[in-house]
Amino acid sequence: MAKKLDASIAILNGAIGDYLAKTGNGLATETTFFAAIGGEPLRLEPGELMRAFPSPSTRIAVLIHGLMCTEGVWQMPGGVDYGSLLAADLGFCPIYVRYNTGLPIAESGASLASALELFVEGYPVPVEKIVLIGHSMGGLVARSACHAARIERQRWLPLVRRAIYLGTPHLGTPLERVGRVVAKLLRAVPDPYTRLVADIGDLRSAGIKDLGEGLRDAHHPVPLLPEIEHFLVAASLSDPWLATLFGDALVPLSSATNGYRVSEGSGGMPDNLKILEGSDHMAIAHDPDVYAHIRAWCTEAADG
Amino acid sequence: MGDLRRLRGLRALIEDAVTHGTGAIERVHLATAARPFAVLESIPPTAIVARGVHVAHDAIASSVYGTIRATARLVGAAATIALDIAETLDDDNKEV
Repeated sequence: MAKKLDASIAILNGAIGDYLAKTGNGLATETTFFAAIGGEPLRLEPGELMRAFPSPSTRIAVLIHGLMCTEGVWQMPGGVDYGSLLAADLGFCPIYVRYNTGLPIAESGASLASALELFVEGYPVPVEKIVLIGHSMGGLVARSACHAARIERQRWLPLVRRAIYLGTPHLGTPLERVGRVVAKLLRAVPDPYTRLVADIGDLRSAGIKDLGEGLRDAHHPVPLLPEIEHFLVAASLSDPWLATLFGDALVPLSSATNGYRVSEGSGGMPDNLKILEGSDHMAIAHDPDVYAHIRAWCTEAADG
Repeated sequence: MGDLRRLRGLRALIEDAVTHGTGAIERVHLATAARPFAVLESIPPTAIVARGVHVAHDAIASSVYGTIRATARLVGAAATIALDIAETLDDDNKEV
């Protein structure tokens, strides 16, 4: 029941979370860390973190979900997830982030950066390595958090060795851009009914609107930081035509691969890029094949 | 405590939805009604009567929408009081 309620509130936050936050509504989700899916929220204080992590690992994997989701999106059949598997296989301590996906991505990133700073400060042992794993919007939030941490010179940023992006729309998603054009056209028609429809369409959150351009906004440039190794997983629908048009159904391949042109890859795919054919946008958040890549990339991070 | 906070949020959201929703529908209603009135008001024989009916129509429509908004706020205030009581009882139970 609580899980369903959390999922409903996550959808509400994705749709109008910026409005909820602006009006101080109690349904607005705050950036929260969990040590396990279905667990209690972590209070980022040294005493609390010591109780939550009696045998802490020095390696942290931070999992950041996408639009309208909760940490439940990572759950795989059998009750495992990328975080718990990384804990069992490589000794990582998984941290699941929950946040208000309706807020502007820059705000979510800054909030995540501050929370990570508190976490690193209060964690029972010095953290040595952090791996960021973001699904969809979560990848953009991870990038934005790194950007904010760099500006604020936060302690956790130099600990980040690798960032893994799963179906992240680095170059934006055309669906949002189409919605924007439709709303503009409806608003241009001098009719009260079409304007009402445009108004309803414009109710969508700042987070959704940000997805239109990814992180290409000239006013808020968020480059991939060179000191971090970046890894990308993109999914493509099984039908080649649909895959060409829609990528993984929501994010085109060119956006999920950050501009890499798959058809022009003459020398084979780069090592930091994997494309899962016959998969879709949501499935890559809990796919054993994706975990195999994550594990390989995290093994190198754990060894390095 | 978290549940009560969410209930307060839900109450506020419903009140906002009714307030903003009726406001949007009111604007569409008045703008739509203004079209035939504009035609009638441009014809000299019907202009004076049409203008009077237009003003009366807009006043009645606005008062109806206003009443809906006021009722929503009233119900919202009553729900807030109920939640305050529930929170006080919850705190008392914790102290015991």
